[in-house]
Amino acid sequence: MEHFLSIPILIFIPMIISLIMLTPWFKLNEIHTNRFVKILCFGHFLYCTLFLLFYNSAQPYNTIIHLLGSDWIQTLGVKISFRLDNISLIMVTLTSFIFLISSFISKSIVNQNHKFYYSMFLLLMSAILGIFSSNDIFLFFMFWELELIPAYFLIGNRWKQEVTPEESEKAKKSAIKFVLFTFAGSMFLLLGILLINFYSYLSTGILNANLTDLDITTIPNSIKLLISICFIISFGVKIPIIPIHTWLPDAHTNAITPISIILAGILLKTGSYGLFRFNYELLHNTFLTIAPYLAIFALINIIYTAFVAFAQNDIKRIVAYSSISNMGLIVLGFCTCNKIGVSAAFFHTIAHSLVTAGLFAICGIVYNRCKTRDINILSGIASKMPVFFGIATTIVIASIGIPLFAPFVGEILTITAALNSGLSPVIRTAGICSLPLLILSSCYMLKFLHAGFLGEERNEFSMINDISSKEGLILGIIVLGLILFGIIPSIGIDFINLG
Amino acid sequence: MEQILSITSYFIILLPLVISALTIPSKIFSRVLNKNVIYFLTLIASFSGIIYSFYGLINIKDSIIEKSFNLISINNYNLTYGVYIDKISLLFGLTLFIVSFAVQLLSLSYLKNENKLRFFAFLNIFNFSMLGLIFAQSLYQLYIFWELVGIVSYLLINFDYMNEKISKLSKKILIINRLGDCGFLAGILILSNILISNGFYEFVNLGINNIETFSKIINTNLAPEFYITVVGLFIVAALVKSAQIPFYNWLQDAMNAKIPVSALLHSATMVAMGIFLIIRILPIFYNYELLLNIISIFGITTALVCSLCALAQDNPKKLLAYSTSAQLGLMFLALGNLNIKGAVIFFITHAISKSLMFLTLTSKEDEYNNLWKYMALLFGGLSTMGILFAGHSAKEILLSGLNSNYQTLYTIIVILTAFYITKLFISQYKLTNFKNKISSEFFSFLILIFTNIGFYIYIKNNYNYETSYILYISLIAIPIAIFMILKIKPISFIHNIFLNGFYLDKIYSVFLNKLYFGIAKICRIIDDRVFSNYKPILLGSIGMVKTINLIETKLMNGYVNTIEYLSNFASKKHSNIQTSDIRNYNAYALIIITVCLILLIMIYTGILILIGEK
Repeated sequence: MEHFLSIPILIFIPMIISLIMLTPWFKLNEIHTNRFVKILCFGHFLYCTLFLLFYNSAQPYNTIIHLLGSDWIQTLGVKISFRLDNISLIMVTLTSFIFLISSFISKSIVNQNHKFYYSMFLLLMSAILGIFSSNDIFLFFMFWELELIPAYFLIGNRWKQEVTPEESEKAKKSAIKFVLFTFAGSMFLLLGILLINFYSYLSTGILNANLTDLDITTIPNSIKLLISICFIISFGVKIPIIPIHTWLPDAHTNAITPISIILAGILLKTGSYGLFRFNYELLHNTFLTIAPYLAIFALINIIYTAFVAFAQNDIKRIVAYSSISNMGLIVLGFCTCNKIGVSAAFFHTIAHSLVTAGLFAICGIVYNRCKTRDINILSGIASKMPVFFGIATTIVIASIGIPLFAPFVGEILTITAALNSGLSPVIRTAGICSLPLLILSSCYMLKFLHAGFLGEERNEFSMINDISSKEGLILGIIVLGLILFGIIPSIGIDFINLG
Repeated sequence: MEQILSITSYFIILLPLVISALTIPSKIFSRVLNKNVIYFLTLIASFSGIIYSFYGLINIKDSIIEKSFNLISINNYNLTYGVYIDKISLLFGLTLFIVSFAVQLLSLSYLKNENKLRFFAFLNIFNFSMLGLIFAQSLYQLYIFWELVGIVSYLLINFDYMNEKISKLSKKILIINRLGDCGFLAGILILSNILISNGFYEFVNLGINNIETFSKIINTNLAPEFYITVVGLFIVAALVKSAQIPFYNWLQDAMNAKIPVSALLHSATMVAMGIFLIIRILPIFYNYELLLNIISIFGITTALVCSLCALAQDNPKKLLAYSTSAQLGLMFLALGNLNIKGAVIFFITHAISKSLMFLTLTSKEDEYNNLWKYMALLFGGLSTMGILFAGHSAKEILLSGLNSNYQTLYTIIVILTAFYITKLFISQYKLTNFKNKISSEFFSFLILIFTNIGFYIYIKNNYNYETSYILYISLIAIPIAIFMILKIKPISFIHNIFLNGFYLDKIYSVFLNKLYFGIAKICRIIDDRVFSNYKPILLGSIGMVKTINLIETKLMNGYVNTIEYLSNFASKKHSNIQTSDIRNYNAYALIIITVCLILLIMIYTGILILIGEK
């Protein structure tokens, strides 16, 4: 079985197909392309589940590719090396799942430039998979940068015929904003990576860029602190942490629905994953000193954004801000620096990916039918689409942290971990202070639900119809996932704690 | 014996959930699984619950059955769920099943449109979550189902979601309930945190049967002020759920729901869960007289205030809602005086009689107003007043365990109860057109009435209590009340205060709403104006571009221009040198060659010296 499970196939197949798609010999029409991509994503997801099933915690999957019989860049000690341990595997499977859902939703939305769209879609998938599985800091950086190109096109380009010029202008602007922000962040990431490489060379005399056996014990503490801060800034753009978060609401709001799902569902998680790999694991001792300060930022993320979300008038913006709030919870989980906190953070990653995919899908369906996302205009559509309203209510209830749904477990474990963190009283205070999130999140999510769906019926929405069975199926799968992880959280948590 | 009870309990708890899950396929496979099958299964589930609880109560004696499973385990940190069966949980379960059976039976005929299936699905989820709460094995499980009950209450209030007023109120009710949940969660998290930090990992799941042990641990490890704060969080949760001061306003809003919902959730079972919580965590209170006094004071104040408010209500549902708050306040009073038996008995009788009264109010929307229904209302009302059957015993037992400080107030509340119930009798009497027609819903009244009588007989045989002045006071109060309500007009000022529930709702909506909106708006402005404001960066980068442009044009081009100028100057000078005189040229040549030679020699020697040194 081990020969059958190959990491390069897992990562590079989408990339190869995306390159093939760009060639003129690829001549499928939109529906067939979509079907092809759906089948591909489904196959990929199944392949990922095989990886999950045959995972052996004593022997994580490890691969090194030798190009032309040697390492990639020998002079820097850079290898194309991949490693899938339990955490990476969870993130990879989640990526695959989110892209599967997103490819299903793309069908009804993308009707222009489909070849380029699906090509970029698969390239983004490959880049994100690469981020989660690379075991070399330079390779990580390469995938980190590679992800920007498709993300820029996916956010900024025009994929729908019925988009107004203003909207496409907005989308372009927010794509530029996204790229500028991330570039500024990755500058710091590169700085940090180079510093690590240089200083580990100085102390050991071997050029090494392997994440797992990088020796950083001899690096002076002040340099370590500098490197940590560089990493936190670069990942803080992606997560996002408060003062550098403003690309997110714009990008999420102006992108089309499947891209919003990818952005919130998995792209943000690359930031928290990086925080875990680089700061929490690699520079653990330095992270212990930084954690209390980071916890303050996380608390601001949680509480402040919840208020901002409440004051929004665009349903997609409410969801976008809610995901910033939830990412704050994940960061708080890492800040606690204990086992409960880390497992809570990853569990909440899974839960929040599912919830946010569901919420953005809801926004997309509403926007598709009503052509508006303004809650002052939207009203009374629940009477026309009762089944959809039922599913939306379920997902909203899940998102406000009601038991028997997955986000509840993530929230409660994060706060427990924060309370039990012996690191600093600041983290304990942050844990207690993030409890009002229960009330705040129910305020803004109920605003989302009630202002969007209920109220007076309007004439312009008298012709809309209820969701189709396919849309229902997608949302149903999400709801089932939420309930599964909510009722039996141990399947997720035990796997996270294997390593 | 234990095996049977515990294994059956899983079925009893999960059956409602399964039935409600069946409603989704029942829309697709409507031939095999049609609506009637689901209604039938629902009734069967409740009925089997009644039988189970009876069987359990007969057999369990004073023993406790506990079964637990792991929910989450990380290192030493284990959270569990399971079932915890003792007398109290079986008694609460029995009450739930009886009331919900009666309510479900009535809902069959009360609801007529196609949404009936959804209604039954919600009722089933409600039963499931209530059972999960009542048979909770740990405080964590209790919390989980506590929240679920709140959500189901929200869903049932928001049942007619297209009604704008109701949907707004349901949102408000959910948010107020979340406030209590938040307190509860903070309480349990802090408790288990204290246990972890003192190394007692075995109690971290806060199991119900360990409460006495770990409350002692916490008591020794915690400063009194902090201890009172933590327990206060639980009290807040209980006060919110049971609609006590200062949160009683949500219950009035909840009265916009359908009558079966009011009868089941908002009078009998769900609102009494505050009492249940306090009973479960009562060992935590033992060492602090102050905490018990707090409960008593909140209880008696609510009872007094809400009884006064009930006096002024014209809408029968609102009157009964205030009455519910008041009666729950009396149960809190009993718990504050450590009279657990009294509180449980009071809860059961109150649930039975109050839901009976609610169920008789179905007349407004339809035309089946009749004599039997009025008789049922009278029965329920008189029981609540403490005159008939179980209600009478409950009031007496409550009085017998009461601290003498509270007895005067208790008497006043009993009189007020008699007053407002009499008012309800009179107002309903005016609406009734006594047709002697037995409708199908009469069966559910009958269930509740017989339960009441049966319970009375049970108490009579098992508890000793004496009939005291309470009965006579109530009896005297009725004719006085009739006289006053018919003859005396209320003072409009005080009447308005009572009618609006001491303006609690207004204070909240005006003050808190505005505060919340204000904070949200300020945060949004900060986000839009400060964080998303790139003008400084934009201006900075434009300035930098301009400076660089200046350097490019003035400096970088400058030295090229200087060279150009210099060469221009040199060439002009050069033209002056060229005199076309051969002697001048020779002189130039001599000078240049000499200088070059000297320089060469100097460089050469310099190089030689350098090499030589090496």
